[in-house]
Amino acid sequence: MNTRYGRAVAAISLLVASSASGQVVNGIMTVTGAEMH
Amino acid sequence: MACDATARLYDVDEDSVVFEKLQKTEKYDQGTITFRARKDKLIDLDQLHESIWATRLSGGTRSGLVSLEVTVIGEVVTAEGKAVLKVSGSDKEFVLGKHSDEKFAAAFTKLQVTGSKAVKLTGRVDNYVGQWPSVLKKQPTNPRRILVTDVELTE
Repeated sequence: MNTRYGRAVAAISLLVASSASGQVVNGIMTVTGAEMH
Repeated sequence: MACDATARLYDVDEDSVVFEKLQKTEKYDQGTITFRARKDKLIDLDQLHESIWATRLSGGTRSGLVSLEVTVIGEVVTAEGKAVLKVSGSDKEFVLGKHSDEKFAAAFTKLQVTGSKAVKLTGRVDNYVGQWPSVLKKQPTNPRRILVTDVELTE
């Protein structure tokens, strides 16, 4: 059910873990989708 | 929960990435993914964009991005008549804009009196919304524009 959301979370997890330079200290991404309904 | 599994897989702090289902709409629910940089790190939004793109999210599911709200720390300057936030510890910057919702008007006004002091600024990334994968096909503007929702002095 949450495969795509899981992938998005996975992507963010990678970034939080590995980003050496950037701009943002934290964020909130709001998503929607049929998978959740 | 997928979020917990992901946190374990990628060896991140347990509470650094959190998925929450909101159930805001009747037909398609919404959810939020909150995240924060590790200590002394900053998250690169270009890498975020590329990384989500790399997951090859398919279309036709009505799944997409509703908004991305970010918090940044830096100094507000005026350049070519525009308010610009220069990010502390980085050469990156954001163009700042007024949010269309009047309840955030005071935050944008507050920018005018911050001088050269460091601020912690929160806002929504402008024009970053749409269904997967079309929202990812558009290259974000550089620098990105943030519609300011909150500002506080850090010193």
